This record gives sequence, structure tokens and C-alpha cells, in this order.
Amino acid sequence: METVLLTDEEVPQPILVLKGISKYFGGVHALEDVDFEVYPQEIVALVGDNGAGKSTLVKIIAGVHQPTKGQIFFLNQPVEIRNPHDAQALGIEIVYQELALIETRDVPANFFLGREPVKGRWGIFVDRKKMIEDTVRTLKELGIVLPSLRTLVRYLSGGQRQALAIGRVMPWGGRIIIMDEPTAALGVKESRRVLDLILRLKEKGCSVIVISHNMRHIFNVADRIVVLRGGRKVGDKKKSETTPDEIVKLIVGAEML
Amino acid sequence: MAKDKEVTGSTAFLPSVRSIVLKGGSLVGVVALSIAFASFTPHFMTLSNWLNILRQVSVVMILASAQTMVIIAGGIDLSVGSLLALGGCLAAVAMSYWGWSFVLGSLLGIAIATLAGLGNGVIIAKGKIPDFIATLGMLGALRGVSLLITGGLPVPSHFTATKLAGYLPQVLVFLGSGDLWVIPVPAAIGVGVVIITWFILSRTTFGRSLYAVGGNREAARASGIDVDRVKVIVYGLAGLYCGAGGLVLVGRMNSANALMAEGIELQTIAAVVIGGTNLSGGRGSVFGTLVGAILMGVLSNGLNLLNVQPFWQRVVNGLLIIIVVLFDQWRRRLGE
Repeated sequence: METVLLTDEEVPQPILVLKGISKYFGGVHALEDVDFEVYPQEIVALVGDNGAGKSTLVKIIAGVHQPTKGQIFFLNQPVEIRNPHDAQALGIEIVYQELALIETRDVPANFFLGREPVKGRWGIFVDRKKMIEDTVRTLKELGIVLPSLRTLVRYLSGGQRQALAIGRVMPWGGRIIIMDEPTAALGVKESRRVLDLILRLKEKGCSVIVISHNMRHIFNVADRIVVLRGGRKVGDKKKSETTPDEIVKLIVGAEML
Repeated sequence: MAKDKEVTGSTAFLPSVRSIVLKGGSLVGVVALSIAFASFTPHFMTLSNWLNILRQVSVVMILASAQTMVIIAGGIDLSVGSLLALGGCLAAVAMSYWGWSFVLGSLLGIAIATLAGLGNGVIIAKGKIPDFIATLGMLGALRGVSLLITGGLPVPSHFTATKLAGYLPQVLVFLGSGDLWVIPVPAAIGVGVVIITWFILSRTTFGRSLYAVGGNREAARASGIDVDRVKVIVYGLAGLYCGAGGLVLVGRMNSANALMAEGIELQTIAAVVIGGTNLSGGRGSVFGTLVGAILMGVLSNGLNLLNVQPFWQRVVNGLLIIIVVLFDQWRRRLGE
């Protein structure tokens, strides 16, 4: 019925498609024949028990692991993501669970860690003005409030750090942002802020893949929920068509009850 | 940075004594010590004495600048004195025995020290050996090489007069002991090196990667910084600084010997620590190191003028380091 109503242009095309992905670590089948798509401006929650294959799947997307079998398409083109640089070139950014921030440096230094804007002919001199301006602009766009740009990350709260870690993937034209347990270590209020931030990233045109164990958080922000169990995809539901109960049953494998 | 104004909440117009002490750190120490010495002896607060102090700490300034970069990157270089001796001795041998010109001899000395420094970096990065151990080994080994090069004699030496091609070039002597108008040339070089180092640390991508590597190695790696490369380059750069420092010292003494600047590594580390740089890496500034070097220079100069026994000077110098770091801890706790 949909195909009748919508022309080709109006059917949303997924940006990223994984087809029949398997990943074996020696004899361990971490992923087995998994299909996975991400659509533009979509928040996909990736859920499953420990060892279900969530981290392996996002690491394949981020170029950290190579799939044993299967194909990846980016905007309908087959691609190989051999390393994190390939992923970044496609606009895929990952926010690490262990927050890759430098505690002894201030906010702009962390924002541009490892990719400082340069000026001048030699390409080695840091453009500090641009660093500060871009940091201020991005923080403002995302509604992130920090005590001061000069504050060392050491003195920021857990939520502020998480916001900074997420915010700093923005200026790189990130189209797909992967987050591994972004609210795991946070209190209620700070979690709320991070969830708001995820929604704002979506407004800005990003797609977000978020791994989480917290059903309430997932149902707050996600558009679609993908469930993995034992390396296989056992569920792929729109939020509007499912309930937390059903998802939990899919995770633990008790849907027959 | 005007943007920060709204968020920093300082309301006091006149800085309190406490905030001067807190913010000034070691600079306050320099001023306080100077006032004390000036009140005990009329010879301290004179232009010529201050120029003398600067001349005396010039070599430490150069080496401590290198040490600052290494320590910010989370390392430590115990071989700076040996690198200096290696570069200085080889340059002196080339100039006085092989008849090399000042320029070629200097380039040779600096190049060999740089290579040895790069060697430090490669051993540490590729061999996965702790910085402390690798450079401790080089501290001994490179002294040995310098002794081999010079045969244990000063360069040039009258024992080898028949083989001598000439004395050390006047330009080299000028570098170490000349004056530009009233400014001692070595002091100008030392301050120049500090400024260059400040520029590298704060204005270049390489400098920023030093802070990143020292602050959180894993985060630096995850952000795409080639940690091994950064380490190799910073140790190589330290070697280059030491080679330059060697030339200044040889020029100052108008002679080179393999055992010169022994123990200077501890002075450079002391200057870095007194200057407020974090020994565990990731934080610090080379201007702090400059103040640290001057503080040590002022202390030993003042004690000399007061005719304090050299034995006591060692005690005082040692205690100074402890006191400054205790003070720094206290300052940081209040700051937080």
C-alpha cells in the first residue's frame, strides 16, 4: 500500500545497510547473518543481553572489526570500512563508553583532540580562534552548558563530560553517531540531558545508533529498536508498534510465554 | 577571551595577597628570595649580578625546556646531560682536531645529539620500555661514548698539541660567553629557546598532541594521534636542544670534556617541577620552568654572595624542591 502512495523520492532510503553480516572470532560466532539498517534522522536503539553481539556490530560499523561475511552499503554504494578513518570519512563517528577525553586539558582542546584546525602555510600552527569559536557555536547549537571553556575536563561532572564527548563529534559532519551506553554512569538529571542531546542531534540531521540497557531511556528517544540475542537479530520493531515488555521478552528469549 | 567573562565569577578588583601567592607560584618565591638577599648584601641587587645569574642558568634553561616537553608528554629524560656532553664533545673534537668549521662542527654535534635522542624515543616507543629505564641506560652509555671520543681528556688539550688543528672558533666562544650590548649571549639563547618551546607547546598541533599523550594515552590514540610517533619526535627534539645546549656550554668554558654537566638532569627536573609542571604528564608550561630555573639560580647565587658553605647549599637546594612541591600541592588543593 505504501508503494502506491509514495513516489520513489519520498520513500526514505536507508543511509547505511548491513546485509548478512557474520563475525567469527576463532570458533566463537559473535554475529550470525545479521541485517541492519539506519535511516536518515533516525535513532536506533540496539539492545540485547551481555554477549549478544551489540558491541561487535557497532565496531564493525565503526571500522574497528571487519565482518567475516556480509556486505555493507552506504547510500546504496557497497563500501568497505577497513579502519576507523574509513568510517570517519563516511561520517560515522563513535562516542566511546570510556569517554576518550583528556582530563588535564580544557574544553576546546578536548573538542578538537587530534584534529585541531590549522592555519598558515605549513599546516602545523593551531588556529586557536577558530577552535574557540567552533566550540562555542557547537555547544550552543546542542544546548550544552559548561561552566567555562577554560575549565579542565577533570572538573566537569559526568554528564558534562558525556555531553562534551558527544558534542565533539558534531563538527565533523557526523551523519551517523554511535553511542555505547551513554547514560550508564549518570544520574537521573544528567541522563535526561544526554537524552535531550541525542534528540537534538537527530533534529540536526544526524542518525544515532545507541546501545543501552535502560528501557525507559530507550523508549524515550528511540524510533526503532533492534534486538540481538546470541549473535542473531531476533527483533526489529518500531517504537510505536512494541512495548518494553515485548522487548524484554525478546532480549531474554521468552516471547512464547 | 571576552567570552569567558560571563562565567568566571571574580568580583574583587584588587587581588588579595593570598591570590597573588596562589597565582604567582614560584615567581613569588623569586621575588621574596630576591628581597631577602638584597637586604642582606648590597651586591645582590645589581645589574651585573642579575646578568650573571642569567648566564649561569642559561644551559639549565635550554635543557629544562626540552625536559618540560618530555615530561608534559608523560615521559622523563634522564639522559639530557649525557646528550649535551656527546654533542658538545663531538663538535669540539671536529672543530679542534679535524679542522672542521664552526658551522659544520656545530651541525655535527647537534645532529648526533638529535640522533641519540631519536634513539631514546625509538627504544621507548617500539621497545615498550619505561622512559625512566631507557634514558637511565642512555645516561650511562652516552657518557661512555663521550669519554671514548675525547679519550678522557679536555678538548682541546695540550697533551695532544701535535694533533691539534686549532683552538675552538671565536664564534663558539661568543655563543657561550659573549655579550650583546649588555645582554649575555647564552642568556639570550636560553630565553629564545624558552620562547620557541612555548610556541611549540601552545601553538602547534604537535605541542597539543604532547599534552594529549601525557594526559591520557588511550584517549589520544582513540582520537587518531600516533602516540609512538609523538614520543619519538619529542625525544629527538630533546636531543636537538641538548646538542644546542652543549655548544653553549663548550663556548662558555672554551673547552669541552666528557664529564661536563654531570647531574644536570636533576636540575632540569627540579626546574620543571618547581615551575608547576605535572610530573605525571598532561599539564604544565615552559614559562614556569623558566621561573623554576631562575629560582634555583637566584638561590645559589645569593647563598654564594652570603658566603654560605657549599655543603649547606646542597642541603638548601634539596629542601627547596621539597618545599616548592609541598607548596604547590597546597595551592592546588585551595584552587579546587
